Amino acid sequence: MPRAAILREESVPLDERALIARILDGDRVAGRQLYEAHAARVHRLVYRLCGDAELAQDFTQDTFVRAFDQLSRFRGEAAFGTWIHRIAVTVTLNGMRKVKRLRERETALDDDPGLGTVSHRADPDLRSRIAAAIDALPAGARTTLIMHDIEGYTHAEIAESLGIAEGTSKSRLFEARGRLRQALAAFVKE
Amino acid sequence: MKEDELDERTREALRGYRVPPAPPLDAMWQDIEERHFGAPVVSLTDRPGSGDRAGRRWSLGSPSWGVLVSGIAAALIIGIGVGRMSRGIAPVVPDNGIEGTYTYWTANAEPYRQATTEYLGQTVALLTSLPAAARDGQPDARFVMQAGELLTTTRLLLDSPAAASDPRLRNLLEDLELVLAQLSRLPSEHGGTELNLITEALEQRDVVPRVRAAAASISSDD
Repeated sequence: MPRAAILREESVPLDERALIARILDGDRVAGRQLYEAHAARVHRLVYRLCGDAELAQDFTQDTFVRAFDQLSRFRGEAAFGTWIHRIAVTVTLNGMRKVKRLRERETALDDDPGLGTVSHRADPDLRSRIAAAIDALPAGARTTLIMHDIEGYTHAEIAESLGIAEGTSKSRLFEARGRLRQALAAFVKE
Repeated sequence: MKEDELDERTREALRGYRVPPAPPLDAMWQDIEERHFGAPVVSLTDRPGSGDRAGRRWSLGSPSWGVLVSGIAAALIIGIGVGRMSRGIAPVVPDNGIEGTYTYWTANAEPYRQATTEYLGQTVALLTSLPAAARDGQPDARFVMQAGELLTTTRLLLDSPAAASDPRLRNLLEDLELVLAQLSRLPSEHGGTELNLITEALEQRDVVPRVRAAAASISSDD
């Protein structure tokens, strides 16, 4: 067998079914291997969604703990990567809702109207304005935009991860892009 | 500003939206491991009720000098090897702020690059699991088997054009071959002690983050 072919065989993706079976047996090494295969991408997405390093760490940890705890329910109908991304999005969006509620309560106490809200003041910097426009999008549209246009997920992957139809993913992206263009219309005139 | 230009600048700005920092993989794993699998395994040298640290180390089944020397030597060799691999690598400015990229990988064969990246990733996973594998003072049979499998891959890569074209990669592979050979032949008696010695030395020398950096640099050099 040619050397390259041997290496190809050696480099096939991790046999996730075998790893999952071992994790269910309590094998930490297998757990670490599965974690290593997915953690960086999960963390990237979570950070893009929440924009806070500490929260991203917490949400990523919660994602993997929940995934490992529920591993016996994983049927293997979708790839493990898709499944864990779905958990990651759920954990992150739920976690952000809690954080938002907490911040709103703190805001009321501190009487600081600026905290936790998006600034609508004109900003000459395109990047800042785009960031503000993305932050102001509805959660579904924002998540879809981040996953598709920033992180490069396909509509099929987004649909699997969010539990929606592909068509819904496409329409959400269309809506998000429309709102962005609206927010940036002033730049065309300038 | 024209619409085309705005579109292009918008795409650029989107890429810069909330650029993630490097993920704290080890710190996150510690938390995940503890919450899902239970408290991390206490290494033999840290077991409570066994006297002070130095006393405990020498009271653990009195490992032979050969065991001690081979464990430490393996760890030192890999530490030096990885250091050799990392030294002299000129970091370039990260393009996305996530992690530095390095420019030493020059092999033109994509299969070797992929194989090396996956192999290094799996080796990192194995090495970071050393403390857990030392559970009950004996190496887990599955762990030893994995080390043996990685050893086979190491030898295949050593024999590949990729290793021939990059002396630093070759050095790293040779050193990993030694440590994997040690791990794959851990004796049933005193194996846990040897494993702990290797683990301690690897931690002191930050070997795992450095192997991970090598893996990242190879995989990102598309």
